[in-house]
Amino acid sequence: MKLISASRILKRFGEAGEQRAVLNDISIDIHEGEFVTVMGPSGSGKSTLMYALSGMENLDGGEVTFEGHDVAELKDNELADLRRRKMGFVFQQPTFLRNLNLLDNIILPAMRENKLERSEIVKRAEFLMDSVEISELGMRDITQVSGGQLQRAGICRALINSPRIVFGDEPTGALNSASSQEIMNIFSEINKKGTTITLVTHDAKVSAVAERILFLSDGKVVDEMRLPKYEGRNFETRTLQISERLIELGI
Amino acid sequence: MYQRMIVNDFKKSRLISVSTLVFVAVSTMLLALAAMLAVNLTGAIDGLMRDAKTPHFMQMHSGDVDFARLEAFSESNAAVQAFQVMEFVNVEAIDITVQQVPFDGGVQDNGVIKQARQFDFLLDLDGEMIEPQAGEVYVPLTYMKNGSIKVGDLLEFYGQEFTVRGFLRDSQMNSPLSSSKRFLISDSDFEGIKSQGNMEYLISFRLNDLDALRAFEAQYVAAGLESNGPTLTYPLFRMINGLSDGLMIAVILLISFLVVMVTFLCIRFTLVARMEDDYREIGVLKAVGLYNRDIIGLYLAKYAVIAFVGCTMGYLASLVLRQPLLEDIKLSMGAYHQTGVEVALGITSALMIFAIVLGYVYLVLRRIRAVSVTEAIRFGAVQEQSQMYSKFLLSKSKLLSSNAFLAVKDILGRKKLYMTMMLILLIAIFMMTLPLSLYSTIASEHFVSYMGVGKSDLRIDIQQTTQIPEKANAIASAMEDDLEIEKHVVLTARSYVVRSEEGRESRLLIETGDHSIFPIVYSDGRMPIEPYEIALSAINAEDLGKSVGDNITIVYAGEGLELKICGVYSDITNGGKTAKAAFADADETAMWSVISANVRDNSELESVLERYSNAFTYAKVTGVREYVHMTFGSTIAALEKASAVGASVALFLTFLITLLFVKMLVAKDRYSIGIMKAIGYNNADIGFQFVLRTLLVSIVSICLGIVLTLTLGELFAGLMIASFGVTSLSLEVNGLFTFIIGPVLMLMVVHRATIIGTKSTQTVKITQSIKE
Repeated sequence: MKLISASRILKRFGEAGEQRAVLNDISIDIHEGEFVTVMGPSGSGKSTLMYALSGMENLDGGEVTFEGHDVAELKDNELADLRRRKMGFVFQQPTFLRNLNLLDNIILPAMRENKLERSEIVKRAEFLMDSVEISELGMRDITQVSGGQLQRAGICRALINSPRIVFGDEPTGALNSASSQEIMNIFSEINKKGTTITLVTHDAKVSAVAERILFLSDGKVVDEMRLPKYEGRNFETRTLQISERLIELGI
Repeated sequence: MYQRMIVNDFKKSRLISVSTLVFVAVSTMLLALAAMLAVNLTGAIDGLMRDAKTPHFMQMHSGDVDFARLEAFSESNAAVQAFQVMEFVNVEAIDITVQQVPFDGGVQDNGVIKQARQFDFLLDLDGEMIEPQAGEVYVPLTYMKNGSIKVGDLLEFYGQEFTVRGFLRDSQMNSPLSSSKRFLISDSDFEGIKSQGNMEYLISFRLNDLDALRAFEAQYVAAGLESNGPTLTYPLFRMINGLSDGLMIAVILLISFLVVMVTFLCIRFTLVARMEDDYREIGVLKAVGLYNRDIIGLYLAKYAVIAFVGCTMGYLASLVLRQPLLEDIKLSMGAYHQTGVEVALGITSALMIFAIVLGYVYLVLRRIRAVSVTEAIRFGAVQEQSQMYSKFLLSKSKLLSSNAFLAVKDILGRKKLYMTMMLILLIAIFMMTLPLSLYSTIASEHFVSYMGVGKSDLRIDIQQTTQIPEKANAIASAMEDDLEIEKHVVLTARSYVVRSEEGRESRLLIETGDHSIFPIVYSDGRMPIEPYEIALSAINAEDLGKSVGDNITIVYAGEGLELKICGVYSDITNGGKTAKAAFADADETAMWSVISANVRDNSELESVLERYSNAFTYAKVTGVREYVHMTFGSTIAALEKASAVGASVALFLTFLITLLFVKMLVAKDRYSIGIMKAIGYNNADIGFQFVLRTLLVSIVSICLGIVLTLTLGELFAGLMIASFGVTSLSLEVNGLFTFIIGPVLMLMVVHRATIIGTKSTQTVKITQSIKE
């Protein structure tokens, strides 16, 4: 079942007269439960594509639908509701409110949603933190934990309202390789439980846990690669396959 | 380079630059206005008193006058330059009609007079001496201002008709605070009318040297000359002439002082924020070898331009605005022609603001010296101490919604930042409520009790007539049997000789009777209760060099009577030179009696006033509310004007500061706004957080501002009202405005400014802001 459908989307940047198409007539579908990564060189438009799919970036052409609804038609409140209820975001750099501790940052979207009792929300946050092994850090200031721990907290925040899809913009970009692997394992586990994952990355190791890889170059999807669902095996082989495809494509 | 940097900086931070410019301009405008008005007021008073040749010493007297003795005294006294006795015919309001309608002259003692020949001239509105023709009358300016008489109206005194030819400036009695008003008619008409009313004599002297006034006063008393009436002096005329407008100037000065403070806070707030923004650049400039003074110079240059333009604009605005504010001064006292002095003073004010602003900017900029090059280049921002308030947690907060929590947490975490806004709003609310409270205090019926008049519903004055005590007793008896009168008291004033320890004699007006029925406020001590006690007005206490606990000796029934001073009070009646005592004196030579009374039912006051007015035509019956209106009317009006200016300036400042503050906050918080949007907070949520932040800060400011008005404000008000001779004052706060209308208005302005200021949050792009 299609969760997101992008049809002939177009996005330009730059001053009038000197505009450059960052997304140039891209059409893709993301299905429920899929694990998709978008790869490409710097400036290929991969982050823009992710933000366009999540409704954070306005388009100059084309259409993006989420569960069949045109995202461009949604009002500010409806878009905010959509982001809060059905989407989760993990950014390259940890993005947290500086005056809140880790736990408060994690529960912030759920507190706004206000569907559960406060104690229930805190319980859920603690469960998520436990599952990414940061349960001891809730009361810490965001400056008192490492980058990897912050990224885990970011994943907890993205999952606090049980979204349909989690977007990640280079979520391991600022981490060392050991932390990156741990974070990718977490994403893989989340996906196994049914949450759709869409990540932007330039790292073949990150894409190795995905089942579909989109290759972007100069604002166009130049290729697509499908892999069997990752079961924790053949990681090196999958990484190698992706790397070879990148070389073939000259990306 | 400076020029290009300044232009670029203006473009980059237009709102901040314009706001700072406006604050500097408003500060300059108010200070220049206060200075120009003050110089105009003193200049105009001096001009009027010079042209009119105001007497230096004047003794009002009812009864027979020994002209030969006065003449002899004048000739033998070397201090006297000129001497004259003017006849002043008192005309009761009942004997005056305007356009065939009885004149509502209120509390004023109206009378007719002819033009003086030596000094104490009555002038027309061009400052020229008036020479009325037969059948013409010139009317005191007060009645033009309150609109009760117009040029061309037909006036009747004792049935004799006069046409109003114009209005007159009276250097002695212009002010409504002065209870007598002089109508000027021709010499021939005066001869015809003078037998009909009560004659009062104005025995006036001009001295060679005004410094000799006190000695002259003592000599006059010692000579035992005519003294059945108040004694008035040149300094008193001067003070009364300047009081109403002087108070307005004082309020403008206070407001300008507050605006200057707001300007400083605003400069500090924007400049510190700017330096934080430019932190990395400052580091780079230092790294490439620029001296601190060079970098400070870059910022200072921009503020020099702002201060220069602001001061110029403010000065020009003050030139335009002074005209309407000068209206009253010009009308009452004539124009002040020394424009050179005025211009110089205005420019000096502007230069003063310019220098102070630049000095202050320099002081704030000194923190550039403390910027560490390595830290600035490495971090690009000031490494602030994170204030987490670790016990205030969203996960533990049970009462607040997440939006409210975030707003409160932000305030707690950035106290310094919000403190600046709070201080500015606090000043604004102070600026709004203090002049208004001052206005309410003076407009209040209780105010008279600070001025030597007990607060009652009505007062009946009997003066310039014979058998005053008998007449007063007749009224008191009528009141005794009157069911509509709740309580009443008769106070009778007589003139006594006071003998100092050195044997020097002077005169003292003492009001005797029961002073506990309608008590006044004593700045020191209490009312006289025992027959051996006396309370003195502040001026008398100062003149006699006495204070509470001292004794004075008066001549009573030919013998010395020692009285103990039990209290000192402020007084504006009878030139402020009165005393109150409780001993009984049945002497016939009373100068006046005042019967004060309260009615049982306030709605019946008008009918009671009318009844007594009709029954006792020799007495002047007045409602105290009307008395306050007539006496302090112009002061109240001037203060009302100043309060309106204060409130408008305060609301304007509040709007501008809040807008500026919120815009800067939005710019600072783009990152947090981006995060909140990304995790599903909508524009309304973010807007609500900002509104809550500013409203919470405003509410704290308003509460503190009100407390400040009630404490420090009372001190300020006391200083201002001290010019009336009031030494202790309890500020009467206008509850409705101070506690409800003012705060609501302020909150509405803050709310509106926040809504406008946060509009830009709607355009904050998640993708851009979280990369910053």
